Amino acid sequence: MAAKKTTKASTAKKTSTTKKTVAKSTVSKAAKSSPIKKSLVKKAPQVAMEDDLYICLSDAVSKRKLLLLALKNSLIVQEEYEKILELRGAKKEVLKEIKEDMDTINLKYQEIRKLLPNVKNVLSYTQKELNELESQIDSIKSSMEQEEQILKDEEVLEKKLKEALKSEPKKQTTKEVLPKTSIEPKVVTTPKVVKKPTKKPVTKIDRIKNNLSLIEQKLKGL
Amino acid sequence: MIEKKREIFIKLQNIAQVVSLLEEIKELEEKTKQSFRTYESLNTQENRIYENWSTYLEDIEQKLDHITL
Repeated sequence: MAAKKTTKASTAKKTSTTKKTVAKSTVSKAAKSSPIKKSLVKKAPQVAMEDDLYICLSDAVSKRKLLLLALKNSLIVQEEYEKILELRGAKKEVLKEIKEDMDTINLKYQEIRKLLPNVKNVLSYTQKELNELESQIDSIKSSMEQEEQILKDEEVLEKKLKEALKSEPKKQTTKEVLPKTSIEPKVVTTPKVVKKPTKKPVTKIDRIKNNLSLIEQKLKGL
Repeated sequence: MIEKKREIFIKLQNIAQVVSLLEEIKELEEKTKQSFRTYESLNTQENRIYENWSTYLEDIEQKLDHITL
C-alpha cells in the first residue's frame, strides 16, 4: 500500500512539473512573438488569479503626467478650501466686532438723547399751532376792529352828548334837546356806557393786545 | 404775515459730557468703517478663490478626460 502511495505522489509531481514546463514554454513563445505581452507577463504577479485581466497602457508617461497634474490641482483646491475656512473665520470675527461696535454706538446715542432736551414733534406741533394761532389772530383782529368801531361810535355819541349838555344850561329846554338827539334813553345809559368804555373796552383791547402779544411771544418761542 | 421759519434754542447742561460722547461715537464709527472695509476685502478674497476653484476643477476634468485606456 505504501509503495502505491509513493508512486501516486511521484506521478502527481511529474504532472505538475510538466505543466510548469508547458507554461514556461508558452510564455517564452508569447514573449518572443510580441514585446508588449512580454512586459505584461513581467508585471503580472506571481500568484495570479485566472480571472484577472490586464490591459496594455499606451503613453503611460503622459497619462502619469496628466494624473499627477490633476492630483496637483485637486491638492491646490484643498489648500484653497482651507484658506476659505480661514477667511470665513476671519469674517465671523470681523462681523462680531462690527456688531459690538454698533451696540456701543447705539448705547452712546441713547446716552446723548438722555442728555439732550426732548425736542420731538416740535416741527409738526409748530405747524399745527401756527395754523391755530393764525386763525385765533384773525378772529381777534376782527373782534378788535368791531370794538374799535363801537368805541368810535361811542366817542362820537359822547361828544354829541357833551355838546348837548353844554347847550342845555344855555337853552334850559330839556324837551327840545330830547327830540333832537332822540337818545335820551341812551343819555341815561351813556354815563354808564361812558364809564364802562373807559374801563371795559380798554380792558378788552388790553386783553386782546395781551393775547396778541402772548401769541406772538409763543410764536417767537416756537 | 407770520414767519414760519424759526430757530430752536436748546440749553445744554452737560455739554462736556455730550462732546465726549460724540467723540467716542466718531471713533467707533471710524472703527466700524475700517472693519467693514476689511470684511469687504475678505469677501473679495473668498470670491477670487471660488473663481480659481472653478478653473482648477475644469482643468482637472479635462485632464481626467484625456486619460483614456
